Amino acid sequence: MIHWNALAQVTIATLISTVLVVVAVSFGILALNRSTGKTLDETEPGEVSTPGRPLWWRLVGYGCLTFAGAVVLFGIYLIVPQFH
Amino acid sequence: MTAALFTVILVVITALIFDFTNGFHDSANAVATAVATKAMSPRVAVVLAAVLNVTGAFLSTEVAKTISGGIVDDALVTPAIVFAGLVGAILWNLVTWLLGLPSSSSHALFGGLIGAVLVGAGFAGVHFDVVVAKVLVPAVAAPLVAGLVAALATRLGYWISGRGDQKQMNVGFRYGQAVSSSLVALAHGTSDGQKTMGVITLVLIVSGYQASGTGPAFWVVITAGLAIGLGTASGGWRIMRTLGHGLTSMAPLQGFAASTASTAAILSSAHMGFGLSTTQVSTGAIVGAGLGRRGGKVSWKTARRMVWAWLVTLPAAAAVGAVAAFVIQIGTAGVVAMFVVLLLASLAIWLIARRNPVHAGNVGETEPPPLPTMPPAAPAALVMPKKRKKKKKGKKKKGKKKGKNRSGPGTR
Repeated sequence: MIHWNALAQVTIATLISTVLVVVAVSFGILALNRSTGKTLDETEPGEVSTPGRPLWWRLVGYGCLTFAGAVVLFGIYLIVPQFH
Repeated sequence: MTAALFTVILVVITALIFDFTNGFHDSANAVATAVATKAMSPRVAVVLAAVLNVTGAFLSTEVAKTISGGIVDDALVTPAIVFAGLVGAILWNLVTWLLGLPSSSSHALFGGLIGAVLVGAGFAGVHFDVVVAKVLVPAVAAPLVAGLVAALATRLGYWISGRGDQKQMNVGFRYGQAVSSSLVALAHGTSDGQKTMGVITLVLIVSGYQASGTGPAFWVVITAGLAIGLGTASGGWRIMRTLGHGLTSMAPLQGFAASTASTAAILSSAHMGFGLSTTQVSTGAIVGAGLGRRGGKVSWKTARRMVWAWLVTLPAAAAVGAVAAFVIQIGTAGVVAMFVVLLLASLAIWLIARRNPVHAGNVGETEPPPLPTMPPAAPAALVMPKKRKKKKKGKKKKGKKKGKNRSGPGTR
């Protein structure tokens, strides 16, 4: 009566996709933060800049964000029947 | 035009009205968090939510199939019974909306349908095993899963982001939140848009216009998607204002983790054909995100109130649906009478709501809602701001707790 299999799939899919996306985005934002000491568009005078190699951090940052986006798109791809 | 066709058309229109109220009622919830954190302007947020709602409606049809071919026996049900079920759902929705009870539109729909079928077609008309497997069990499981996952993700997110500058990280998470909460609007379109498709398909099947066991037709998908999108576009402002203030007690990272978990849980459940309540899953995720933060607190009093509303909605809407099913047994006159009752009730609510219009211009104002009501506890109001240490000062300004009385997920 209870669809244990479907429930397990929902649980695992939710767990994996959420953790992947949140961890990737957190790392991405952290890396971008390291790259300049300032994130995205907000810069304030007197802000402490983190030492490091800016370009490298920036690449890692955007890489992480792209990965998170790819996880989301893959998840949507999986549930749309027209793609299969 | 035959009486049967007349009923079918009436049911399709009523179902689309239900869909409209659903978008009106719920979908702006998602994006309101991003407005509260100023990641998006209200105007952009409402339009985006509406567009994503429509898009979401095209993603899947599994939930629609659960409704059209699962929970009731389409050999025993008539269009008039489906109509009675819809009347039950809409009337219950309107009443709870007026009283500010945080009820689920989805459970109102299931309840109304079940009540009407029990009266109109007897016990054999309802497939209780499917109701348990695809409605009741997921209603308990999905919010729990979303909550646990959101708690874990929040914990991990804080662990990682604690190594950066908090103020700057928050700016980044605000963008993340804007994106993830837009995805909740997409998931809402997928999950709730399909419920209307399911009802329309059900009535087409039981009246012989469509073969039993088939999914929704393309025009059904389009009209249902547009109805929910239009509802979002027209009702969004009011909800934005109600929600925008109760929600600020969440840090951007928590909001981001919560809406990501909600999206994942709603979309994966929709894929399995589970008829979930989007509101319930979001609430679970928000409680989880609140608990996931070290020292985070949750207003269990508010949470208990919401749990009561969940428990009551299905049977209450079933009762209204059952009464409507009695009335329509008179025949077409009964159907017309119920439709008139429905229109009058909607008109009354609209007039009450109109006394204090909310639009893009005043969405940011902080007056309490005009109704003498207790708006549903905002999902986010469940999370109490915690007393912070100095080093987290970037989030300090967001932690102001508002009166819980006007923090509901939008009653207007």
